[in-house]
Amino acid sequence: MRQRQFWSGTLIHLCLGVASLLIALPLLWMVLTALKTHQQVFTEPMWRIPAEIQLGANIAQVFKLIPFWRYFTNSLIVATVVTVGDLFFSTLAGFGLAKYRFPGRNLIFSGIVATMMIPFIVIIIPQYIIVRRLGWIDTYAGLTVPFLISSFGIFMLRQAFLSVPDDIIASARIDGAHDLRVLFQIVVPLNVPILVSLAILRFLMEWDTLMWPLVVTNSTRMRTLSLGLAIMQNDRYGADFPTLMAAALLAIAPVVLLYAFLQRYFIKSVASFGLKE
Amino acid sequence: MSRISRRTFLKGAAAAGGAAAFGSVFTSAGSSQSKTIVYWGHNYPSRVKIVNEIMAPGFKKEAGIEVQHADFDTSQMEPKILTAWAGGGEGPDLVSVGDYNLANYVYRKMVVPVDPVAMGFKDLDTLIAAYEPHALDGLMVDGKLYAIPMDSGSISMVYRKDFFKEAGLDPENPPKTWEAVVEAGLKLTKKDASGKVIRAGLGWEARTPSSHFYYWGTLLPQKGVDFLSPDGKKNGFNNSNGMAAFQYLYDAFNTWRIAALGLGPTISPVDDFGAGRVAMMNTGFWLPPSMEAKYPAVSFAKGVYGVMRLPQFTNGKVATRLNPWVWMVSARSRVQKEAWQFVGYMTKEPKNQTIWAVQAQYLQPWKGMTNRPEITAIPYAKTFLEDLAIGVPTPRTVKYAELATNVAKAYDRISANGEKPEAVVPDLARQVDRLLSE
Amino acid sequence: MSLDDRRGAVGPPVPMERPLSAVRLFGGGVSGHEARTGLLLVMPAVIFFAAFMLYPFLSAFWYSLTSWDLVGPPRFVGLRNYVRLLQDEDFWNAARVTAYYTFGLLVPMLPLSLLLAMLLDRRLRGRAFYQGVLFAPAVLAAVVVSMIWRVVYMPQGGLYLLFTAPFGLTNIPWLNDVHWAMPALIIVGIWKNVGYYMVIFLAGLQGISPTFYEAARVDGASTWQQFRRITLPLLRPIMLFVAVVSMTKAFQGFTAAYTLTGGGPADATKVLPLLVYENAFSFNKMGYASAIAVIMFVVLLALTLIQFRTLKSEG
Repeated sequence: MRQRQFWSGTLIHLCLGVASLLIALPLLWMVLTALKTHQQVFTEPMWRIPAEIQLGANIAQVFKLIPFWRYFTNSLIVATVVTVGDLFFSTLAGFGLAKYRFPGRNLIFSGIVATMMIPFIVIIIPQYIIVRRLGWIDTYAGLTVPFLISSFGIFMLRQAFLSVPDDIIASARIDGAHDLRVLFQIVVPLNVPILVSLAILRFLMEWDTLMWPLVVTNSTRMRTLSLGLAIMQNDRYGADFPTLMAAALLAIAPVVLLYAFLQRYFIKSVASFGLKE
Repeated sequence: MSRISRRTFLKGAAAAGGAAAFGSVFTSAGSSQSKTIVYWGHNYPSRVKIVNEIMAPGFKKEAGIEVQHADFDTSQMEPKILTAWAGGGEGPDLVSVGDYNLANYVYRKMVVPVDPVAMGFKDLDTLIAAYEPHALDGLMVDGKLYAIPMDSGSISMVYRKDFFKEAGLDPENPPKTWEAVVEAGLKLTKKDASGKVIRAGLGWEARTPSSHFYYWGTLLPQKGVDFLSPDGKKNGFNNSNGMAAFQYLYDAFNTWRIAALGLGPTISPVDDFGAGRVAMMNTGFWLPPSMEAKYPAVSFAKGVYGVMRLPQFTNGKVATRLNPWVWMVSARSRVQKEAWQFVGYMTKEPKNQTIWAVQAQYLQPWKGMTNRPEITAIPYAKTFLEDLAIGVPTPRTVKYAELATNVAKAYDRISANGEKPEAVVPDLARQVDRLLSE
Repeated sequence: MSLDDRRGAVGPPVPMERPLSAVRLFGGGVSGHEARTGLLLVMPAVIFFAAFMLYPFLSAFWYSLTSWDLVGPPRFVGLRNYVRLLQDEDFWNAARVTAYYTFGLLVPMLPLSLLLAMLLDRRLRGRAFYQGVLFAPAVLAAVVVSMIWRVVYMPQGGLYLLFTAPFGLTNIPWLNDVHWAMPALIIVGIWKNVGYYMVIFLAGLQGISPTFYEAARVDGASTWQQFRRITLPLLRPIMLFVAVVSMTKAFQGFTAAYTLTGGGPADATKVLPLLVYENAFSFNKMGYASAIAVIMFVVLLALTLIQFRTLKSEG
């Protein structure tokens, strides 16, 4: 009995190890390439780490080619504004849908859930036209407002708030707390994990998005990081592989750092999203 | 009583109002301030440098007007200009784009005619006379001039003399005809053990949709036809001459295999030539300095590479393609006069013309330019200048973007997919006819 | 509450409904201020969705019935865009390519995700490490993933050679070859997302009580039988969720195709979202592009309903 378990344990580790290695290889390759000069990429043997590591030079080249900090800051602003806004408004709406009865409640909830099914590609053109009419092309407003509230955020929070026991709320009310106090001082603290999950999900979504910034921004100073990197890949004048990989490293460094420390929360956010469906 | 207090509600309303103000505070500056010129151009580093470091500051000092300059990758810039200008949206005041956009912009009433007085000339005739004869012909629509050339844009050929020597060819006697190119290409092309091409004898470097017109697309006028018929209403290549041009393209990739794709990670003329992945390459005047800056060992002065006129067909029409960059001003701009004033500032002074020529290799076709010592002193300028005389403009149509996309697809089918011209050309002809008739 | 704490629950967790909750549409018996407060709480979201979701959604249908190049107002043309689309070889090519990508991605990836999840569904030393590595690509921005894989796919000297050189395949023009380009994109898709769906499956697996398996083992069921009779049925809701979400995401995939291949070569990777983008923002055929988007929506809806039908029905 134990023998069999031992074997299967080794086999499992082997499989998982191989899978992990396969996943990690491209990332290692990225780091390795960032250490080379652009000639070394083609001339040297693949795995050779260059005697003189060019990482510093490549990173300097990135900053010469693109306004990296500007792009980074833009992405940061957009992702943060959207995340905070979504948390706030989804909390309000989720609370209202979970704990209050009012005419049209089911209709509204079904409607919001239904919008989860609308693919972005269908609304991108009309949204672009709306944003253009509002004069929000090439502005932070244009980048953030159309995504400020998400239907899955409301859905997740409504489900979460439903499980808050009514007696806690009732007793708070008896003590004289008004609705917003109940929400922010009682319900929200009880649901911090799910709020963190939603925040992470939203932030990652906004950080990563390309199509909308592509369509809505024009000037260099409003570009997000995703867009800036996409343009950099296509640049026929300047970018070469080590520089591109250095840029990639810079771009993922903050995310990877966060991930290394908060891995549990990242994973839980995806898992809990899946389970609430 | 548990009500949402009035205070809270008012706070919420204030927040909402703040959000609306948020939007307007962050609108792009060009729309609200007066006397600022928003200028968009492509991301060629030398051009960007000249504008940012010389032209814009100098203009601000002289005229007190600020120029807000943004640069883009070409393939992304032109769609953006289109969507920004069309239908009443805000957009740049001044753009530098490929001249092939002229027809489309004029049709959509998105640009205004050149203002010679703002540029510093007495009138239009004086302005035209200041340029080489016929230099501005391609920029006129219905007798009105709509664009000012930023360069001349002739296409010539660069070739690696060191590879020629290596292959036993005479580096001072490069092939002058496409037929001779095949011979040379066969000797210059290098393959690896598995038979894949690692150095192509010939490189066309077509990357952006529009580049197809002026790189390999030059084969068509050299056979006496073009993508569009002379009246612009139908395709012009579904005939024996057009087929012959496409046949050469096909053979280069598939029969003789002197041209190849996937040599490098992306198609980059500078890298493909400098890193030696291509032995002969069609290109514009901008390539040599950009390439030498990145690959100093590949030097014209040291004879590592040379420049020659674009090869011609033995019994064809002597021609090359012109794809100049031009300046145009938006019809919706509130600073049209100032924008043309800036264009005049950038180009009218011989001093500035030299800056463009020497630092960005943009030879503007001013009269007598080719005789100026500082111009002819540029070592490889001679060939590019001579080719101006045989230049043919790129096809003029409103449906430029769609035409380019379909042409690019035909190119992909022939080069990447190995499909024969007999299959591809009729399809392309059909697509072109259809999009012209819509 | 870690994932481990979910063990012992029977089936995936079910959200608790308020026992008093039988609210009908516009039903009575609700106090005025509760209704007012509730409405106030949801009002911002409702206004937002009306403005930025519902209105654009309906507009898309309207635009699809017009011809509009952004010069002047839209011109109503009825169903002409749809008729043209059905005759447009570019459209059918994009539809084929999208189907190729969607199913080419999901069919290998989802079983792999499930397999990995099953491997992880036990007390294992280093489990957090494996999970961390396998999930990592999902947190990276899609554009960065493209950049990384561009270097992997370099014909000369790319990482892929590690796997193909032993077979004598070198100098593969991954992104420039009509036959290799789509497989290249699919591989990138699998790499990025396999860990993501693995995590979701794992969460579902952990919700299955071990008592089921113990009982089955006592009855002498083999591993495969346990999988078929216990795991699969209890995992159905999760599988449905994963199927719907992964298909929706793959169908709308834009970034990878746009940044790695631009739809080429020869439109071999021109998926439908790219076609919409090109028609709208390069050619300014807003009506035509909207029609393509509407067709995409209808197809997606149909596929989703089919999946609900097949996967939801209890055996």
